[in-house]
Amino acid sequence: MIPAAILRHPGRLPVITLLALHTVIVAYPLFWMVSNSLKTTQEIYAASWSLPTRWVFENYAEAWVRGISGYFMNSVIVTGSTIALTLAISALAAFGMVRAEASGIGRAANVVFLACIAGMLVAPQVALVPLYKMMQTLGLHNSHLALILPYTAYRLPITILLVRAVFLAVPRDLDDCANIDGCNSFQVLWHVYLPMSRSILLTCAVLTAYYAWNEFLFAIIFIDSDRLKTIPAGLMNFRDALMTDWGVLVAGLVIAAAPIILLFIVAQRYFLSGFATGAVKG
Amino acid sequence: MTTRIKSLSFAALAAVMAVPAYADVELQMFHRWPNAPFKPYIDSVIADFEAANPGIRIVTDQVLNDAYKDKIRVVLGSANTPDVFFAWSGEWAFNIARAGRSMDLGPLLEANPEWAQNIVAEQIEPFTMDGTVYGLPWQMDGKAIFYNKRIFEELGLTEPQTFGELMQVCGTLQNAGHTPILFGSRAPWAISHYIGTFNERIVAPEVLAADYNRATGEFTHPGYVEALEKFAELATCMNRSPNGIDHESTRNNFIAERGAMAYLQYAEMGFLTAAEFPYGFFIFPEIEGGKGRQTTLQGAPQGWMISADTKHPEEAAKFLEFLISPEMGARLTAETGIISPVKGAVTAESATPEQLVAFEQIMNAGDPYIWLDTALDSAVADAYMRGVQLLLDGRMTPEEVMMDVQAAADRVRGSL
Amino acid sequence: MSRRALDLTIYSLPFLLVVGVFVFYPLIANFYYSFQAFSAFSPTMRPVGLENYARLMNDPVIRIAFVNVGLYAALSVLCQVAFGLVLAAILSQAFLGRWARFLQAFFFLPVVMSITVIAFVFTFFYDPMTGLINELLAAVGLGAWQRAWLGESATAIYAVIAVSQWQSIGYVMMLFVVAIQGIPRDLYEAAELDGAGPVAQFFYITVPQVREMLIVATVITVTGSITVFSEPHILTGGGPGNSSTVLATYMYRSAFFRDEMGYAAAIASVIFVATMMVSLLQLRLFGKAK
Repeated sequence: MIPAAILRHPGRLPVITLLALHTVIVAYPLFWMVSNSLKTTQEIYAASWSLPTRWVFENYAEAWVRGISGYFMNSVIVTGSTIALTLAISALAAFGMVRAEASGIGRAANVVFLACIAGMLVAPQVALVPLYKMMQTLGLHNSHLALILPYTAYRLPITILLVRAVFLAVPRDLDDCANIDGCNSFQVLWHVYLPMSRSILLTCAVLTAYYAWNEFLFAIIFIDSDRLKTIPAGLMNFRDALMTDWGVLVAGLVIAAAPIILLFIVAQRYFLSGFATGAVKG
Repeated sequence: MTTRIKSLSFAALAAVMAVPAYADVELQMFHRWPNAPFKPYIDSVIADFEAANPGIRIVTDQVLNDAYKDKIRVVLGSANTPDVFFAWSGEWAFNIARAGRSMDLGPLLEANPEWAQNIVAEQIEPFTMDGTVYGLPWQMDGKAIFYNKRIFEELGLTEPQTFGELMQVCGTLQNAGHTPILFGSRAPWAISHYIGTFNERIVAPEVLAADYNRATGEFTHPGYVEALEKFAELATCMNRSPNGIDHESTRNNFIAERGAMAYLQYAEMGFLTAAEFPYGFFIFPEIEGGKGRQTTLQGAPQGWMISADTKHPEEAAKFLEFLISPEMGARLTAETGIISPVKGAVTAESATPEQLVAFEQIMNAGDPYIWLDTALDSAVADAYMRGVQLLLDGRMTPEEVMMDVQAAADRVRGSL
Repeated sequence: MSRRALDLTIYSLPFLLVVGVFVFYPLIANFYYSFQAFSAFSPTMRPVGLENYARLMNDPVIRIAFVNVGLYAALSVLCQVAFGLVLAAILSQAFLGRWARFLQAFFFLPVVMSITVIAFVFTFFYDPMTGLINELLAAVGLGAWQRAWLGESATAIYAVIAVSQWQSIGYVMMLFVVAIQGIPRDLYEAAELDGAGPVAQFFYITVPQVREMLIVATVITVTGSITVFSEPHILTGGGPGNSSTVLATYMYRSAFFRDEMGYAAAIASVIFVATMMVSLLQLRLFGKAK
């Protein structure tokens, strides 16, 4: 389809060349990872650009037992908990705000709104030293909570604003009907608001997953034990341990990257819309 | 009926309790070897220890060299400090001792005189501050220039006795198309080993002693600049862009015969079994006209500390006794190539001929000098190593590097 | 308190608690810590007044870090915002058909990968002895250009910045794709009737119409550059020397290697002020744009 189009419109050639070039630039490192994850160290050393002569699938098994499996589970736990906590707290706060605004105490809701805006202005890096001290004092250091709580805290402001925007669109009469049916306010949130906001909640979940799965700075400092490390931090250790075993190291990288790529392919729509809305409101 | 069951179960419990000498105790151990062959060795020692001491369990964590230096600070600052942790000797150890984080091990040594006298006394010394022993040695080490004997013989070269001869050897190698010295300084600690050596040879011992002490360090003596100049001279014999190469690659390249010499540690001999050529090694030669000590060996013991906050000092001590025993020492040398500081551990049975030579060198070297990065305050060491990276890159002169070091030393002194 | 106000309080309490403890309190505590001297494991703090800030003013490494952050921001804006917009405009052309959606998703892929993974792969590419980049240069006859990309002061920061671009272009591109979708079609149709070519349409319609997103994208890339940590930390550790040091890596090294936690807190304050200024600038620009 494309070649014929070029013939008819020679002016499109530079544009298509540019796209092709960028495709190669994006694709090559991915291709390199997969092909080198199936090689022996010697082969990577000698010819990292060629295809493997013998496909060493054992690299994957080896990488998995050498620690990636543990990091993987930790990432799942931390990411899953962060998503659950973030969505729960955000839905509550956004609901509170929307109800308050609707019943004429918008000024009070503004306090929460301002806390969100101000919260978004603080980069996590700025809090590193105090958070480190705090984790020690609270006895949270070197536990998954030391990651889950700050991750949640830094995701909350933007998530609340996103959820609130959608909650605002929920028709007021539905709300009132539910009240007349004898629902208390929490039941209104649960039975009316949440089902109507599935899409934004999924988008927020995806955004949070992206952040928690890839966060690096807190992950290397707040967790000491190899057993508790998430993938980005654990890989640092994994590399040091396998400095002489490149095939296994690269296989580990593929295992680490694969789930979020798969999630992306499956939930593409939410990723793309999520990143876009997340940015505009941010 | 119920009472009967209760008393029965109490009896059963007592019976179970009587078997192990220790109630369920979990010891945390933190070390710096995530890589083979060291980690498998430590794991197997732990397995043996746990089998011999039911009731004690040891959980380890490990990160490599530079990462360990960062992480140990975090860990020691936390509420759950490891019970037993790896320690370099010298200022690095004292820094931890001063903060009250490591236990006085004197009582342990006194309580077990038989065991204590098995440890080479000189190797305990670098863990001793103001007469108190804060750490125990587990590995003896030294730094030597390793060379490819095949290449040396081909060109009719012999081990150089002086710096001048070393430069001549490099010249011959260069003319024959070899890279004379392989060096990788991407991880800054590798630099400190060279600079420590040049300082030792060129600067008078009493000057060094004053400057390496964080309370009095000034680094204004012109000898330091001279040392860097000499190092820069030697750097002309090294591969290009050392800052882009890891020390591990340097060792691999030496094994792959991509160069004739490399400045390595005895502890790395375990890796050199992969080399297909015979290798030799010599202590860094004397430097003509240098005011320092000319024949000393660089190399400080590395070992273990017990946390001052440990809840299980007895068990931790018991583990150290096991770790630093003649039997485990012999296995350490045989399985990892690390030279054990336990008397009788390094023998013709446990060690290769090369290791025996290294062992002799360490024992005869007299007073060794400590790795520079662990001898200095970390802020001063950081300024030194980063400066020399730029020196290697042609971005800084020796004088400029020393100005940075002086500034860092001033700040450290000022903060006391 | 009215019923509704009580509701609001109860519903937003978890949020206010979590954000108060983990976002706002640390911000305030950080200022306090920046007037102290202490190490990660020292039991006590020593107040030093303004000493940390005074040192900050004269620290050449801070200057290097600022220059590097500036470079980071400038090149990121150029690559991500400018090139990202061009890519997005191309991918919004009708003639690409279904390919457009596929390529949009594909170009976005690096964004979802962990930076640790990406950095390790590029470390292999940059290797001076066996790296792909040097091999490529040799293959096309530019052997003289070979270097230890991450190991030389002249190139280290650029090599690091390049990795960030590879990862993030897709993100900014996606923002523009969404923005362009919001432009009314008839603007383009009218322009086409007037005889405007694709290039003219890009400059006269697309660029002005996505103005707001241009500001957003620029602010995102600039704040991202001020706080960047992972890439330089993993790829170079800020070296050789301090040549690729940025504010966040210097803060990390001060806190956890040099035992200068108070100084690290002072650096954090600098990062805070810098990001704050950019964000305020964004609000102002938005005010003008609206």
